[in-house]
Amino acid sequence: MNSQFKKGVLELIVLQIVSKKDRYGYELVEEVSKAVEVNEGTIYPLLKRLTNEHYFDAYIQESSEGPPRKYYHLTTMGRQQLTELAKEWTEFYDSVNQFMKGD
Amino acid sequence: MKKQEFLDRLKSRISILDDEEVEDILMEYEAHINEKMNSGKTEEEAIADFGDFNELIKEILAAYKIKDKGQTSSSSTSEFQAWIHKAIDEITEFMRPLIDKVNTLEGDQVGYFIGYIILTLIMVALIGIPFWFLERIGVALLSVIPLGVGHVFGVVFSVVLDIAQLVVCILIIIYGIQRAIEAATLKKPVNFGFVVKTSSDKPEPKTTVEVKTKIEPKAQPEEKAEIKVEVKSAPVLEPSVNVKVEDKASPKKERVILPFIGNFFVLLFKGFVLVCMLPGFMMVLGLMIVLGIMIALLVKGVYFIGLFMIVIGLLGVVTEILDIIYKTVFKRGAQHA
Repeated sequence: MNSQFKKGVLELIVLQIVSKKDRYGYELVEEVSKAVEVNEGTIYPLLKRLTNEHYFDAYIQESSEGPPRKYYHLTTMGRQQLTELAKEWTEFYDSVNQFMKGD
Repeated sequence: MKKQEFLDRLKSRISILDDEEVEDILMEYEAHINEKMNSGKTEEEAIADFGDFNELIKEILAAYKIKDKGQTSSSSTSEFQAWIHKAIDEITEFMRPLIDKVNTLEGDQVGYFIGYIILTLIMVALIGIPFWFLERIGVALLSVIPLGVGHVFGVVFSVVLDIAQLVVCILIIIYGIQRAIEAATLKKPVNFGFVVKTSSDKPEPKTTVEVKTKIEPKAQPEEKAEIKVEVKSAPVLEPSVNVKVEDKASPKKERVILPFIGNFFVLLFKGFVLVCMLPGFMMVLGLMIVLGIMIALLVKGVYFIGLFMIVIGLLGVVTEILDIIYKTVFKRGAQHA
């Protein structure tokens, strides 16, 4: 799939995943990979950016296996952003689809 | 690429960010690689999944709205550094039998410390040769210009070259001492990871030996990350007296071979080339082997500080000897010219 497509949608997917429940990096990458084929390295920068923009809160939690993990939690701002993006995506998807069908 | 190498490279390229952020990013990537390895992938595979390294750096910096200019502006210096590191690694490989010898005698990190110091000195000595040639040629060419102008240019040229040589030497010494100190302070011999990739069973294979210093504790950001996190002292920190060089990556073990005979021939060949290049170098080499063994014997039972003093003293002695040799070589060259 075109990487430019992916980049735009990736934020939406990541927000969506974290909105269900708090996730740590590796788990999140796994989840995203289920939805789209993605370059794993690029998700962490995205998480960074989303945290910097206060869509995510990050906290450290001990894990039963191995070292403590950094979890991401969706903030209220993040939730708004998710709604916004989801709306944009649907509109975009619909209009492109409409156009591709052509008439 | 190995994990540590990846993390080191990553660290150097994102060093523009706050230390805290850098630590954080490194921790995340390390955790990811570890999880991948737990799920059965190798280090190399886990890192390959990150895709293109430069692209990755760009993405990370873009998350902070920083454009990656490391590619263009600092590439010359980093390439230069990489070149020096590579050169040192090459020499390390060449000198490995000697270091091993010293090391087995001592059976401790101390051997590596001495080995690195000696190595650094040899490197510094060797780097003098191309500079010397350049200087001779440059001055000879410039002296063609009449009216004494050539002479002036010649002097300027030699001064510039001397400064360049000094800078290179300082860089080499810093790097060498860093490594030596790493080897000594970690209370663990530097892992030379003798991964010798033999192409076939040719008697003189081009052996590539990955010389990799593993700086374990630095790579454990948890030490700083959280207060409630128990600081797990890495096993490497435990002082162990008789540590042998062992390869960490167990899956690699099958490929870890020490073709002593092949190495011996390669060493002989390299030694021969070296003798042709610089008569008298073998003398220094022999002297160093003797001194190395002498020290190794001396140090048995001597405390670390005592050893340190000896090494420092030795540094002075060896530099003095090298200096004298250089002077004689230089004079001989001057007479020929």
